[in-house]
Amino acid sequence: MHGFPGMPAPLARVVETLSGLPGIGPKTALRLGLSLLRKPASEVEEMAAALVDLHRALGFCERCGCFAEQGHCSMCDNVRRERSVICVVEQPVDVLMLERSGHFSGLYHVLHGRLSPVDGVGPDDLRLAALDARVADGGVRELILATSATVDGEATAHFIARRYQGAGVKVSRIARGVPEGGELEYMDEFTLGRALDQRVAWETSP
Amino acid sequence: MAEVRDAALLLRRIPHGDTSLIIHLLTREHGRVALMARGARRASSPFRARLAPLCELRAAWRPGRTGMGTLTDVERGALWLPEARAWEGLKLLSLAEKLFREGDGAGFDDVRAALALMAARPRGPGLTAAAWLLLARQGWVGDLDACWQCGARADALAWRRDGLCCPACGAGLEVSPGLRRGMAGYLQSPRVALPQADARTWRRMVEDLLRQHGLGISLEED
Ligand SMILES: [Zn+2]
Ligand SMILES: [Zn+2]
Repeated sequence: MHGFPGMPAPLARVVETLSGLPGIGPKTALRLGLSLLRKPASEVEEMAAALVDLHRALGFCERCGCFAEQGHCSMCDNVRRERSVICVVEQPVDVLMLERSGHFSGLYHVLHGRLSPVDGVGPDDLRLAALDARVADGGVRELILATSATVDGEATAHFIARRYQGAGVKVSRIARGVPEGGELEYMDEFTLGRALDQRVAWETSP
Repeated sequence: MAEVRDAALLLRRIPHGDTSLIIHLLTREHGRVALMARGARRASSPFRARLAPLCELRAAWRPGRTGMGTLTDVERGALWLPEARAWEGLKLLSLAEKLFREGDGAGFDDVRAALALMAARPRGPGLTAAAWLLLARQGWVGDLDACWQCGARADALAWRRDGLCCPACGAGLEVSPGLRRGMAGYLQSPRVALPQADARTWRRMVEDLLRQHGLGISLEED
């Protein structure tokens, strides 16, 4: 490990491992390594066990692609959730974010990516066959496309919408516009333009 | 070093660190450049909404003394293609990304012209025509009325993996004079329609040319 000559090998190994994580440089990795060394051994063992467990115990739901501890995720197994509405997202973490909003009681479908030809990601690299099967099984009334608000995300949404046109499924796209608590003064022109284009009519009460 | 300004289009966005992006631009005067866009993934960054593909950007950057330059400002124009056709547009960009390497001077106007052609033609054959135009502008496409091997002008021409050839030079998939007129017309005018079989042959020709140059890109409508 260059940069820290004379560092004991076990510490160097930890520093090297930690600095492979996003947002962690060698200096931060060294600080973390030293703080781990100061902790009681039992605590560090627990931490190591948690890391091992992360890979052993956590996988993806066969059906929807969300995080799952067994074959199926807790959402697919939950009979109280609305089974006829499926929200399509790019990544499992997007499901956690949407669940935090508490506004959605349907099921999810995780694509595990989005169309990006320049990165070599095409339709065959997304979990579309699994979505085909869910739609073909019947009982799906609506697909909500919740892919990113980027050109890639939009291309992915249009691709999916076209794929299921004529399949008897309503396809919708999550709204884009002014974020909660946002002041217009600080908004970019594209977000504002979109917010105006996609404005919603207000019913005036009698 | 003095700041540089140029018209550009976005080829790639690569996440860097927690909040930044490395971007690859194809610029009008400076060819392909890679730049660091600091903080561009932050919600508050003015770069975030502006660094989009398939539209004209006005970019300003400070060239690096040794390595990569730094993006200092960017303005964004309207999309060149309707969003519903972004997938096709991105496919063409992935081709451009492979064609134009850092240090190459050209590309911007060719890609711009190919996307304009695509926007004015329907889905499917529009992408084939745009890719053909892009390759033609790189000199990969020969005269449609002559053998690409011996240069003889001929009515009967066939397509081999590497180009059009006359009966004396070889055999292949028939490319009738009608199809060749159709291709030329389709590139010129949005009013020219292409029979499906012709569109398929043309697509195969483009895909063969790409494969010939080591670029395995499918133009199939999916
Ligand atoms: Zn599930
Ligand atoms: Zn010949």
